[in-house]
Amino acid sequence: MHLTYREWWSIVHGFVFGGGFLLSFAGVAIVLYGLRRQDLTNEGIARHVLWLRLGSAAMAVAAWGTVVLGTWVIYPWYRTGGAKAGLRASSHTSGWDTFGMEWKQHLAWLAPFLATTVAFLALYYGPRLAQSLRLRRLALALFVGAFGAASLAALFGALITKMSPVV
Amino acid sequence: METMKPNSVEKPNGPAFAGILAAGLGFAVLGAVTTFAEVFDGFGDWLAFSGRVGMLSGETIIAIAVYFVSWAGLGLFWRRSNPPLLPVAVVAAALVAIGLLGTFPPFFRLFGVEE
Repeated sequence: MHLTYREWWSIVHGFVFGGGFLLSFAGVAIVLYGLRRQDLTNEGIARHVLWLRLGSAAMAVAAWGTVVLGTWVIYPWYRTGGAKAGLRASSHTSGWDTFGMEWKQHLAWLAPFLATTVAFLALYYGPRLAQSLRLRRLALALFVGAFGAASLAALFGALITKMSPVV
Repeated sequence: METMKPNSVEKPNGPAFAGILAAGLGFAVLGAVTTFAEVFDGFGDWLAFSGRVGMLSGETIIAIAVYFVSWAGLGLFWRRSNPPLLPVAVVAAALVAIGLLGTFPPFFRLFGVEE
């Protein structure tokens, strides 16, 4: 069992940062959804706000880590290391590059923009989120948008790697 | 841990809503730049800030810059304001839609050739 230097970096990109972002979503979304004045004591609100701030900030960092590594470290290897050429060599697989990779490498950038904004909302409003259904819905909508973009990019990334891995 | 404070209710929405608009603006610019790179060959070449990464390097650096600079600018402009949420949300959603369209390969390929 052996992983190359490039495969290790691909694991950091796809599993550590990307996987961490996707796996954290459910937990942070539940904390945000449950942050309701009528259901919590002041202490409960403070605890929810703390977890929301930590969770959303960690997810923003993970989203930035995923796209920066993907764009500046993994993608150059994909372009020049044979993975791209391997997909383009056949008409049966070229769409994974001309559509799949082209779409994913752009779409993924929506995730850090939205996730950073959500982390700022959590930091800025804090306990006020518990009082305002409108603000919670707004933060949740942005959060779901970030998750959707990251999920689609991750799906294409996994399938492209299966078809033509960066080695 | 932070407890409920009266002053947390008084914060203006401006800086937060600026972040929402900036996210939409940053992604819309990514879409626009991606499509323009297909339309104008010279622009596409100029976007290759890094030879290893290619056009994607310039596209993403410009989008990141627009995101943070527009957030700072709008945040400063709205630092004591409470802009209405609905127009902000609608404009932000429209900007994200522009970004989604501009970064969708079947759309931007209408205007140029493959890389």
